[in-house]
Amino acid sequence: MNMLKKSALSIAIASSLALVGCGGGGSSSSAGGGSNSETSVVSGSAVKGVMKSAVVTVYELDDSGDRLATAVGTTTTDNKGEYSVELDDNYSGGLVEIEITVSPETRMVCDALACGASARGDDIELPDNFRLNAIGKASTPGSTVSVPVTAWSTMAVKRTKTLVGEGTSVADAARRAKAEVLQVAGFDFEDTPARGVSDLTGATAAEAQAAVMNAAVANLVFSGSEDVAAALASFTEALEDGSINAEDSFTPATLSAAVRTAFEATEDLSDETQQSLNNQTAKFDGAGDSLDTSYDDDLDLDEGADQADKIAAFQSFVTQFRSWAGSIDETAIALGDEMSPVSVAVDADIDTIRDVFVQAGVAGDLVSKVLDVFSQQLAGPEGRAALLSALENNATFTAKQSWTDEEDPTATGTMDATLVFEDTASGLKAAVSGSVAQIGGETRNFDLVIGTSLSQNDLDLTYDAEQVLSLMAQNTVSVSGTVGDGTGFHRAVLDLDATLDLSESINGNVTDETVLDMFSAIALTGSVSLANPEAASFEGSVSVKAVSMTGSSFSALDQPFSPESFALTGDFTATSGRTFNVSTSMNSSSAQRFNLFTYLDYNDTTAAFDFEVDRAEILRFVEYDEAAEQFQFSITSDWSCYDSETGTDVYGERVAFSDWYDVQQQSVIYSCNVLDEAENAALDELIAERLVSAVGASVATASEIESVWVYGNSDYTLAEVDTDIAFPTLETADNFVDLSFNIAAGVSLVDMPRATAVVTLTRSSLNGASMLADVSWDGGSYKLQVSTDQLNAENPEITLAFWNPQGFRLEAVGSENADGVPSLTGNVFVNDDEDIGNLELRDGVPVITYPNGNETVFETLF
Amino acid sequence: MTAPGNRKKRWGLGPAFFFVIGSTNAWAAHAVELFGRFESQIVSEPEPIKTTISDWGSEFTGGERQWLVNHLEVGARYHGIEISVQQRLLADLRMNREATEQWGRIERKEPLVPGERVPVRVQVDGFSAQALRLGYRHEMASGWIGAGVSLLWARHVMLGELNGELLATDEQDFDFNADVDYVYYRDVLFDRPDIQKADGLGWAVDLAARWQIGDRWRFHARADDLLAKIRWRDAPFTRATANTDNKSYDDDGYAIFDPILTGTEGYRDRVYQAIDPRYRAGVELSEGSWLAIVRAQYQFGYGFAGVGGGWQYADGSRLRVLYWPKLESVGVEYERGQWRFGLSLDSPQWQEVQALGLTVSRGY
Repeated sequence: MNMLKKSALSIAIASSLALVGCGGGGSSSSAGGGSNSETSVVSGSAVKGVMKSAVVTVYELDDSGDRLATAVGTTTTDNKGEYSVELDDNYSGGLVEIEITVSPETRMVCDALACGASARGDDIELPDNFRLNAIGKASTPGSTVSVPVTAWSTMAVKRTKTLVGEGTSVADAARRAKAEVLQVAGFDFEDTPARGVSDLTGATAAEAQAAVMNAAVANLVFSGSEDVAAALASFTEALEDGSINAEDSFTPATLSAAVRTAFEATEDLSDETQQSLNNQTAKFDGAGDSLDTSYDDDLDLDEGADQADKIAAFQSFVTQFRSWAGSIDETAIALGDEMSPVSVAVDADIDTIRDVFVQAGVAGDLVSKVLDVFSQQLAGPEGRAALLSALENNATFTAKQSWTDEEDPTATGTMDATLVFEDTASGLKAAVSGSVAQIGGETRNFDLVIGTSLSQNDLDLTYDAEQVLSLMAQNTVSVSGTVGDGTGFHRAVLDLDATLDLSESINGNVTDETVLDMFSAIALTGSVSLANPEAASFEGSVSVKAVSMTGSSFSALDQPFSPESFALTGDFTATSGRTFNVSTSMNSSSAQRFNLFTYLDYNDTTAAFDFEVDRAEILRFVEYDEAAEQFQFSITSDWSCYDSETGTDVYGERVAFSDWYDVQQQSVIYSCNVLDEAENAALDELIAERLVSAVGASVATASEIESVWVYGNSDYTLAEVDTDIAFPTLETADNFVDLSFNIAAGVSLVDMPRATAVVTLTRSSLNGASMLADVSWDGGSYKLQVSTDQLNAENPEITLAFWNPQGFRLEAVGSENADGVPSLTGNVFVNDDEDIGNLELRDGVPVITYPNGNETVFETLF
Repeated sequence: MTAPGNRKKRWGLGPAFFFVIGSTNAWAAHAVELFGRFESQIVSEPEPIKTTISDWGSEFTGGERQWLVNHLEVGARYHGIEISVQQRLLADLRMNREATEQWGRIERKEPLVPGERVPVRVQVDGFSAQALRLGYRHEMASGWIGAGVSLLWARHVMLGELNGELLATDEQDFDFNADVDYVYYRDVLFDRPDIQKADGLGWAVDLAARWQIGDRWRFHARADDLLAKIRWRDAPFTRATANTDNKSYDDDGYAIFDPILTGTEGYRDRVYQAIDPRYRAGVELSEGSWLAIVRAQYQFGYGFAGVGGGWQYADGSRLRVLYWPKLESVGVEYERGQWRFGLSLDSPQWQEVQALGLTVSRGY
């Protein structure tokens, strides 16, 4: 009926990826050179780091997943960790298990930050019981099966055997294990060639991601005191129960940290790789104590599946997608209704976050006033002397009794605090305790310890206090302790470390200038607990890093520090007792040359640009008595000047006012004049010159002067010039906001299945951006990616993909023409890359078509 | 709508009809009688024709049928033997009244009765064809009786049905589930692209008679498309299900009819389409110059009758006015010699017309 006139639906997408349609192995191809047409070949690479001269043994598995008694092939890896095994006559076409073991000649390239005493990239020996495994698909005579062998494939083997032990067939178990491990690893470990992280030349995005994830495993394995082989075994056993949790040797958080460490230590990763890794670490961060995997039996496709089976399975996947997308729609509608339970719950969560951090801000403001007071006491030579004296005599610094806010003089309060220095074996420590209160406002009591790695000897008398502070900057500074509200309730519990990175060490005299010159980055990391008496609270970790600018084209506008990264992870508890976790992070790839703060302040907006200029440069526009000794002047935009001759106000674009003391008349003479066209042009030129030197010619040329106010007088040789400048878009193709933003949250909404979402937004080029979302919802796991290279185009072409870890994937490209007519094309896949259908637009409705013999099965996506 | 630059300049049967029929004198000399007719009947019970064309379904208030019958024919009769060519168009859409009413409420976003279940049954039957007819008319003193057989070369098939149910779950919400199975020349439901139209070959039999009983009574009857059937080859088809499992709502919270469709499409090797016979009859009584008329028609499982009166002029021409109660339409017909012109409407306002009939014929 009215299907005749379906309204044009929004282009959307979905898709799925997935699983190995076979018993679990990697890709298969006809045998190439080196094998005869009747021989089955298994090849691949063994990487933990790269395993050189490692022993490769191939076993055939029976239906129970047990190895048959005799190996069907053996070889050793080469110096790149690669192997190729021709299976012997004992092989009967079943699944194979590849085992990598160690011989005396075996060496592994260290891909952890450090492998014991060995550095990254060094060859290291391995214990005899070090093992890696993988299951490969059944190989037909004359074909080659590619099977990378890594810690992740080993994890999949162990999970497979656990499932087999529970009664699942080995082929089914292998498919399931692959899908589950993929949810942890974040990449297709069976079909992605394994490479060492030390050499990623020419690597694809997936290969680089795989290398980093392998290196992350190395970071975990080599980080503890446990035997490497045992640590690897513990790691690979973690998913035997289908979940990474407290019972395992690592947690999602430690895995996240390991990945991040490997990520940061690996250079030249592509934007796609970075986005995937950012999303994966955010997923770990948001998982809390347990990272649960999922597998949908309804979507299981075994080796015997025909086209009809694949279509039916994909239709089930599409149904899930519709349900998923529909829940988003329902949520959006519910959020639009302020009275809906969903809205109420979300508002409560937002209120909780706001409440917690507002309270933290109050505490921070008040405590910082105390710290400012003590900083003033320690400033200058007198302060340094007082500090030394205090250390020798165990003296205590006492804060003054009252304070007044510098920015808001009406805000005043009291403080009662002491500062005690102590020279400990680990360095100087400062204990700050006491209370601070705002009159008519809040009260906070605090008990904080500020630790440094400085020794008392560092406070050499040849140093002044500023030099001491600079020296401290080279040391790790920790802040720990509590902030309460005077009732015994702890509003904040801090355990933070601040580090300052210098580009190179400072030799000789340390001054604040040398520190600033050598400054590279400052970072703050640690754990924070925040709470208020009404029970809303936050407990988690925070990490902030800022870097110095090294090549900004508008340096005069820049703040001294440019934010490079920010991360906040933790659990919030609302006043209702409801708990939810949020993890958010931001990483800027262009922080050293493009300041995000500057961008936010000046991009495509009108902002103040003030400077001082030689008074004479301005006085040429002002009519006044040049012989006067005392005078003042100003220039104002869009004003008027009273013409005493005509008795009228004369309006002008800019008007100069002046007054001076006439000695002869012993009175103040007032004058004004409207700047003529030439004078306006000259003043514009003066401002433009300053603007060019401040922000560069390209930005300055595209900027417009909106208003000017100038002031000067006879007391100062410089005049103050305040302008409002309409700045243009600051971004260029080479210089733009290049960042990745992640947010991970667990969401439990009324009447809806719990969802965990990790969203990564990445800006990779001036006109390129993508969004990658990893969603666990209603027992399923999905990823949605939306990207475009035409961000600023009026009708950008958008690429979308939706997939799941079981190999179901939908890809589409959509756009609109100038008349607003939408277009959409795409494909649908099963088994990762088996194209079984197309996506097209019919009368504005996205429709999937699946060829099936002489007929075509179709379904509308929405 | 055809873009101006793409219009095909073809004369077709329409101009030929007037050209051939209008050139009677030359043919008459050879005792060849030319005949022809153009008949068009459009009936839309649920809503005005104009609305159906522009926004189908938006004004449904009731009714069960919509049909369109166009028949253009031109031919020659020689010693009773007739040969003619035809251009035909037929479309018949039937739906159950409850569904029509419910659909109209949904389209107008009127409140529904929660819990009400309404079955939905829709059938569509249509084609276009060109035909060659051979017939024979036996002339008698009091009238004639004739019969003919037509061979149809058909295009534009539309044949199938939709069966389902509308369940009102709320005053502003409903569930809809239906099965669809139809063949078509254009996929009006699912907008299937790149369709190769099917060709059909069919046949039809017609019978007609007219009697003049005495000086006062005149009777005529006609049955078209008897035993008529078209065999289609490689007919595009779609078999699908529709449901509203995935709903969306407008700003007022009223459910938007936008079902999820799943199905199979392809080509059917053979499809047989039976054409519904059309029966028409009439009787006319003369009383002096006055005429009394009764007519009836039955097609598509639907019969209706009309009554009227007329006036016979001195030159033999007749003017008739008929009223068709079931269609609530009024028709005017003028007959002069072998020519007959007729027009019937149920409303003088085009926006409100739900029944339209137009006839031009000669020698019929």
